[in-house]
Amino acid sequence: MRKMCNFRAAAALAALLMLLSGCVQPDEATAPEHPFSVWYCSAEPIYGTQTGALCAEQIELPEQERTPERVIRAFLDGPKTDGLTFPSGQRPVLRGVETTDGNVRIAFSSDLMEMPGLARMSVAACLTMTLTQLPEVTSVELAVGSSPSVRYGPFTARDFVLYDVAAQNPEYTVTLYFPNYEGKLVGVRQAILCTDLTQLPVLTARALIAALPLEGSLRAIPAKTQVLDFSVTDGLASIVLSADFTACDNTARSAQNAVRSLVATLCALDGITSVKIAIVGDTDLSNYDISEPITASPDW
Amino acid sequence: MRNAFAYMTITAFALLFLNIYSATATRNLMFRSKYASAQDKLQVVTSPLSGVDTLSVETVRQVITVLGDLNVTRLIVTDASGTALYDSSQSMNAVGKTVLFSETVQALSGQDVFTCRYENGALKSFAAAPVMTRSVIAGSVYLMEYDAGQGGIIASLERTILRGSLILLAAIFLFAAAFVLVGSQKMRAILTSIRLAREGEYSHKIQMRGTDEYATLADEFNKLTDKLLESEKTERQFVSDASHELKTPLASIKLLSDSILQNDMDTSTMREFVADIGNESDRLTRIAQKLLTLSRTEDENGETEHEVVDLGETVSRVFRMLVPLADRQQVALSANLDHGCTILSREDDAYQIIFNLVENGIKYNRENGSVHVTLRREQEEITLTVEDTGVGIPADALSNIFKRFFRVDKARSRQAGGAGLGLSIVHEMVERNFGTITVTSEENKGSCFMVMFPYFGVEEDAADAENV
Repeated sequence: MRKMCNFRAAAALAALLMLLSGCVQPDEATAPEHPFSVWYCSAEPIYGTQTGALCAEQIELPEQERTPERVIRAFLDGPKTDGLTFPSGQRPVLRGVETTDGNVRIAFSSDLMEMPGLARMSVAACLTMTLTQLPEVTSVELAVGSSPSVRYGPFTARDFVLYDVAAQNPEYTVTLYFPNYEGKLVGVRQAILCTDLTQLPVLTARALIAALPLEGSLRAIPAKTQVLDFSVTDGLASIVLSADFTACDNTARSAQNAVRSLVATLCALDGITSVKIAIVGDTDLSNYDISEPITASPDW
Repeated sequence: MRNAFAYMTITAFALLFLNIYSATATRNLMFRSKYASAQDKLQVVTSPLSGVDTLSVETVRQVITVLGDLNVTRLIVTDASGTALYDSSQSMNAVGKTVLFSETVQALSGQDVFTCRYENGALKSFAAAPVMTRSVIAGSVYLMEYDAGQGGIIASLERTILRGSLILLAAIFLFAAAFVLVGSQKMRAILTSIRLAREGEYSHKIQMRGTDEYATLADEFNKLTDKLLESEKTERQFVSDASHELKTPLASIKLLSDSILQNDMDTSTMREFVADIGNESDRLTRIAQKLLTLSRTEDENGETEHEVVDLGETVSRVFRMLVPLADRQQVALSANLDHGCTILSREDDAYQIIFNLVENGIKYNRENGSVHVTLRREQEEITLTVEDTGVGIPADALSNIFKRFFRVDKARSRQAGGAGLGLSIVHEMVERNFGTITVTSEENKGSCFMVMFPYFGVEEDAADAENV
């Protein structure tokens, strides 16, 4: 019986190994010895990548052959990899290449003008991404023949947005409140990058402390103030500030401005209805009572 | 242990399926919700933009401002060539740049796009749609929503289910371990008892409480060992009885032969002694024959070939054999036999049964007594009755009358040449031929043995009873 069990286990293991070996496909083509990336468009949409609608293929191109014209001609030859396609249905004819101070001006036939706008911009993007790999190239310009009036660019890699960074680092718009000279609070919208919503109030408070007020507004919270601790429970935000915050306690107005600015900013966030301010060392403000939780008022 | 492992494996797979299914179902539900929301928001944005003659930075900004906060993480509007005209992001503003997201490129080719992913604890949905102005693609609208809240719900749900599954698995493991422990203890006790029984120790009993399968098995084992013990006792008793019975005539033969050899005696005395030796040899032969018959009866159980036997004919043959004995004993033989009393039996068994009963009736009878045999067929039953006017059997001996070597009066039995095996042979043979036997008796009045068999045979015309 044990022998039979061992045999069955061995048979099952052998079958699994055979199955797995079938899953591992040997590379059909060897990797190029001198790889160089040439950019094209994806034939089918691929979502969630950092190259967006574009995709690169590796070609064999020795260092000594890496000139703008050689690279452009390699690009115009079209992709060899399955899943890639030339950006436009019709390939423009190359008329000339001129490199000046890092800018490569590529002259094409009039086919370039007749392309749809998206196709033309895709060609520009592919050429820019491809040519800017060369150390001597900083920008790419497309032209039609030798006509000076029909030019597109110059483009750099930064002119093309291939993926949404906000999907990794989302931006939240908050309102920072600053007092004006009449003591009224003025709201200024500001974007804050935050992946964890629970950290948004802390980041907002820090942004308020660090922000430069607009013209007509005052800085209310002393610039050196630090947020030492923060928590939210049942709508009550408890914030512990460093002793630098007491620098606002010179006058009743300045203390009021500082407290109201902070409270109004935090209460504008979802989930916060009141704020309890504490200063490290159990220090209190002499010109403003912060012993109890404070709720923002519309009259501020 | 193997069963417990199997249960654990099945449970683990079930819990794994539960985790995967619940996570997938929850995500799909949220994806559908996001899709509906995205479609609505795209419609809200593309509709007014479709009414604008030319999309420009200013016109798009005006339209978006009127629409207000759409509650999306990022909104981008492009022209037909992919150049961004509006971007809600302040920190990564793409206005003036060419947006080549897969979503916007698809939208600019005329397709609506929606994708949703659950990544890093957040639900990220991406949607794009073309802006159509007079059936021409004038631009695209892209929106992205980063929902950490819903993502947190998914993560929390998955964590809760996983935690619950792990706790359940741990509990099942503990219970399984406990059951295996208890079960293996009980099984070990049972195996120990089986080993002892195999060595012949039938008196060992398994003490096990409960009503589960182990307790039932232990109980059945105890009953089995009781039967084995009883069977062993019976066997020992049989061997002991058989040895004793055989020893007695052998001792007599030895005594008589020694007497002949050691003493001078006259011829007539010697002839008497030799005759006695012959009688004891005959007795020894009868005992051995009966033991052999009994042994064959046990061996042949289940292997016998039954046939249709006419009991009436059998009674006639028995009478012909026993008439000389009956005459010597001055006992009258008579019979009242129905026709067609056929049964399914071995011919020899039927003969032996009737012979033993009639012979006993003759041997244990008084002078001028009688033995009457009746054979009746009533519906589907054949009844054979052997009545005698003999010495009878005491009431307290009736329950043992069919046991081996049992004799009511040993002296009389020896005198009659019996060894106490005849009725036990009858009993065995009746039972293996699908019959039953009962006895009634009154001391000094006589005995009545009634044997019943199921009728078996072809139908025949009713006939008058025949007197023999």
